[in-house]
Amino acid sequence: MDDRSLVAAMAEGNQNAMAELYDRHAPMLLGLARRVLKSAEDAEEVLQEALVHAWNQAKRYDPSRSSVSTWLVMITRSRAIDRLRSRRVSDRTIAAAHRENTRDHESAQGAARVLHGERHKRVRAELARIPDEQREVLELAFFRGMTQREIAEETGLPLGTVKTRTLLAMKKLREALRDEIRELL
Amino acid sequence: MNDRPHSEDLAIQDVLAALEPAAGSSSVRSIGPVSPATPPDDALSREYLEAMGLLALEAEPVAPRPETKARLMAAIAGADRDAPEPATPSAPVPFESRRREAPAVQVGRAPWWSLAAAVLALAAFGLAGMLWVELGRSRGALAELEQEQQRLVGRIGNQEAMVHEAVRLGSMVTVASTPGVEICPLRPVGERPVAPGAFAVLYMPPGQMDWYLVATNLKPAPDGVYKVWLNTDDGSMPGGVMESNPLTSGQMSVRIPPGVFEQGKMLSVTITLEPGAEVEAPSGPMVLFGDEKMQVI
Repeated sequence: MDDRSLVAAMAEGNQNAMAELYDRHAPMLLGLARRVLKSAEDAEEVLQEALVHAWNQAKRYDPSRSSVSTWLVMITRSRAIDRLRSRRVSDRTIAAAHRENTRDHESAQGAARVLHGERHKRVRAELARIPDEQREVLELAFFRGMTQREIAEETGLPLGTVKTRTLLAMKKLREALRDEIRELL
Repeated sequence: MNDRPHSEDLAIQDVLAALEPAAGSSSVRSIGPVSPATPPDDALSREYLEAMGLLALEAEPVAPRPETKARLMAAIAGADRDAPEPATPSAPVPFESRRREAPAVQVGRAPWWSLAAAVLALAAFGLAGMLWVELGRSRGALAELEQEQQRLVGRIGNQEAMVHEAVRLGSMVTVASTPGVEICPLRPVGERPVAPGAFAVLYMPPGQMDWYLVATNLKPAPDGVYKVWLNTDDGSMPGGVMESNPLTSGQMSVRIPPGVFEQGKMLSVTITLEPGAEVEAPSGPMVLFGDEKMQVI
């Protein structure tokens, strides 16, 4: 059963479909939440919130607007950014998160191999080809939820430069991931 | 003139604007399915949105702990108890196909050793059949045991969620009775309030303790969420989403972690009805509002 069928089944109240969707996407979504929040505990809470939201909103999912994976990514990212902006992360939390991330690294790689496999590797390889300075602005916008003005302040670059780099980065991202995007459409 | 670059830049700006926290309602646009009011996206915007979605794969995946899934399944089971039961496993394979392979017994013309062999073969065949039927029964029993195990896991998940909730309620009581705690009552606003009988109190203990906002007579929104906003001179900061408390009917609450912002800077608190938790700025109707702070202990 593909992702769309699973969401359709979830909309009908099928909990097995939710469990299947969880197995397919939870490691990727948890990795995203951890990358944003730098906290294992907060990331798991965000994952839970995001997937409960997906369960509740399954009837409103529209496949013409986005793929299921992008839908889940955007819900999780939004929840994580929301939480990130709602708290001031103490040094202690960051240190604890770093320790937890280090401890889980081996299993995380295992999850990547098993659950994402070749696709994950391909995407990361394509992303690595985008010039560093362009990828940096994309990452600040996506993983830290920063506006272009905030990115300019953070990096010390003129706002115009940030906008130009972001446009270039987005175009290269789309070009680099053309095959992957086609699979999702 | 070729206007493709212009269209492409617009598509990019559209997706980027949807990702920016300050974009308010437009942040929902990228997640089209979440908002019913979403305008249609063109193909180019869709491609850029999917590209941004794939950016998530840059983060290293992390295997969740097993109890995370159990908690999730318990949570959705509580949210929708009318969901259909899992399909029962299929019945064991029928026996007929093997019966056709049995040799025909010709009693009249066969020698005695042939007859004995046939009888032995028939006995062996019958025994195999009995074993096959027994195997089928065992498979059925195993399937039932697996279903029972799944039900038990669900129950354990529910109990964990209840224990978690009890601990959280204990923390709320501790916060509410902390010396120096300040409170801010929230009441319905406007001539036709969204939740007329609702009332809430924000508890703000001193130091690095959690804050709690507890509302009574506030029923869960059927089509949206109640989102909390902490208003300062710098604007409205999200304080989380109100959630139902399974141990206390008619009550909703949210925990606000320490360090969201300094207590002295807060001017007022607002709860609004929003289409989804991901909304980055208040845009829906105001449900409760409070701007008085007072020390009770």
